[in-house]
Amino acid sequence: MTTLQPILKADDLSKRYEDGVLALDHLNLEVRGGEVYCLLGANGAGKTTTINLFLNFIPPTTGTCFIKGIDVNKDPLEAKKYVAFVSENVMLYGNFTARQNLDFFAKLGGKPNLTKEQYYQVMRRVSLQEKAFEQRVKTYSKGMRQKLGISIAIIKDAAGILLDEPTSGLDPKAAEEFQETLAELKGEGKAILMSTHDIFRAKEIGDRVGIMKEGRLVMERTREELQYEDLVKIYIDYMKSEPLTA
Amino acid sequence: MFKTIFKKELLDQILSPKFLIVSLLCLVLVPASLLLNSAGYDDAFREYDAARKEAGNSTEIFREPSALSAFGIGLENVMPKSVVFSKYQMEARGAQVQSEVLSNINGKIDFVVIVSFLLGLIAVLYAGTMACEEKEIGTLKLVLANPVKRSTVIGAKFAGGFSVLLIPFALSTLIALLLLLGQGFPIFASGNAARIAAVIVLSVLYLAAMFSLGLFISTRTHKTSLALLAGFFAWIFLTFIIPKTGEPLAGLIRRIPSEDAMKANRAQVRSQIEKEKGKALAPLMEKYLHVDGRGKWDWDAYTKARGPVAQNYEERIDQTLQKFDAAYEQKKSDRRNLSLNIARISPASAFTQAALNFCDTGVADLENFSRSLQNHGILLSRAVFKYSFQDTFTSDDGKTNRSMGGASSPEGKIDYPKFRYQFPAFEETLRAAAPDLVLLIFFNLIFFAAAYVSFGGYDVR
Ligand SMILES: Nc1ncnc2c1ncn2[C@@H]1O[C@H](COP(=O)(O)OP(=O)(O)O)[C@@H](O)[C@H]1O
Ligand SMILES: [Mg+2]
Repeated sequence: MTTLQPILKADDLSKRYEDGVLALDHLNLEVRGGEVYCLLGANGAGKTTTINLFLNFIPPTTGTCFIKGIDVNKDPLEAKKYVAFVSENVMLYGNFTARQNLDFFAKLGGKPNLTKEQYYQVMRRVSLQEKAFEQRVKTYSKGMRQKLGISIAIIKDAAGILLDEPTSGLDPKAAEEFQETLAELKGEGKAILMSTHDIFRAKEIGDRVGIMKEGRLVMERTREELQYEDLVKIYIDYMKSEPLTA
Repeated sequence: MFKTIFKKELLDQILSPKFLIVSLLCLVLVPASLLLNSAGYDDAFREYDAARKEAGNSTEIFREPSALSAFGIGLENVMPKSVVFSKYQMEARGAQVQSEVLSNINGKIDFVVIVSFLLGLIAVLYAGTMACEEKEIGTLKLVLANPVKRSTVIGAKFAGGFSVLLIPFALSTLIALLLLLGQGFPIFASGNAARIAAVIVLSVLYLAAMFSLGLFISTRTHKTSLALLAGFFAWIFLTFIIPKTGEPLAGLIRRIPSEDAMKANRAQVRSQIEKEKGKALAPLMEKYLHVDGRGKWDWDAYTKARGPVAQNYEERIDQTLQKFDAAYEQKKSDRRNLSLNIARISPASAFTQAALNFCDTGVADLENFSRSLQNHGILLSRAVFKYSFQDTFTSDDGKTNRSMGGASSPEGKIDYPKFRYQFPAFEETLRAAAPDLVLLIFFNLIFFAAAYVSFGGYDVR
């Protein structure tokens, strides 16, 4: 099911912020279609920075991000056609209903002619309650907003999906449903790059898992390799070890 | 893409509670202020009309109040209601309405004030949150994760947000105009319609500039609370501080003698020539107007004989005083222009100056009225004042002092020149307002360009 060419690719990616913080230190990673890549790491490890670089929100200090082979920095508009994005803690437009939010982002994502039924389908897919579809989003709970955020990414139907801690704030049932959705998207051949703190879920859903520390990818394991290793132990060992930059 | 974001902005703003509040505010204030001020104009006009008829032939003239002061009171109450001329001088009357203490302390509310202060503030605050609020709620990242240019986003935000601001403005103005029309206000009389249209166009330009300024502030901040505070300070600076520092600053740069000092100077210039005149007339006084009982007191002979002698001096007094007054006026006008130019750094001031000119209550009208007075003074002096005289003789040792005044009898009836204040023509006002119009367009370009560039580099994380 996986494609040969990576859909998401970070090549020698570094980011030093204006204040001198080296947030990302020569990162290399690839995600193919039909593959879920989980990025683990403590707060401040550089996960969000990585995703922001893929979306051209910030310029890289060195290296390049490719989306479907397109250099994100050189042709951001073209690259962004092929990637959808779920951010952590998105509030969305509170004055709009879920469907109005979805409609707006679908149009921005290049899907101008969707029907109400199509919007409803996507919202059902992330198991948002039916009665919330036409409610103003300002009445939503955090979990409901997160689900709507995921449906916004789904409706774009892009080859690559970037998720920044999408499960933070979801209750266990919602997290379980989210995992199913993710498996479906993977089944559709999407390349999924997800940052998360949830080691257990990363192990379950990730085809590959990377651990970041101080901007470096310090470990990468495939699903097969993880069958014989204890991810939790590896993770904690890495977190406990000496700082990289002494 | 532009249309999608434009429509979203439109809907989002209209659904927000602030739209309701602004609409209510406009719908109450704009019609109410216009109706009240037009009623004030009606009263002023009646007063003017009655006073003018009552005065008949006299040396007092009356200034017709400006109908468009209903839109902007401006200098309406600063300019005199009437002016009494006498030989060599004039005295303004009724410039300040002293019964209206509060209005003089706080300033009256009129259309121009509502736009420059209230709507100006609303424009800055409205736009001030447009970028950073989307950052706060995380939607800016979601939007920019799509193939859409930042320039499209900021352009659509301006177009959408500003359209929403224009809705209450346009609606309340329209309602107010209809109400005025119903009250019999001369909207379509004597070029008023074009002037009202000009005020509205200027308002839109000014509000657009303030809106762009708000957008710029929004792209320089990452928190709505900070943006609102910054917008508020920018507004205070532009609508209060700069316009209010113009005059004192100009006063420091261009020092001119006070009105009192000027009057004393003027009196001295005049008395110098009067003295010379008195000396020249002394032999005639001696001849016809004896003080010590010798000969006969022949007033008629004196008034006849003094004419040719005095004429030269009186013309000199006239000319010298005219020159003196013109020089002082010029100084005042230079200083005024300097202060106005300093104030023009602020879009609010540029807007107010231009809009008031179109309301016939601006600086252009002050100057126009002052010119009219000058011209009328010359006419009066030719037709009326030349018949009256005051001759004063003071001996060099100051011991003898004789003064006599009277009127030489004119041939036939005195023909009092008529005074009818002519408001500046539309083209003239347009010329006067052109710099401010250009400035407002310039502010629009600068502020929007700043917002555009700043948003291009806006940190969306
Ligand atoms: N705008 C910024 N300016 C300076 N430093 C930043 C900025 N954003 C993030 N950082 C720093 O970069 C590092 C990585 O942050 P981030 O990518 O947000 O980590 P994570 O998402 O893994 O928690 C941290 O040390 C953080 O303090
Ligand atoms: Mg993060």
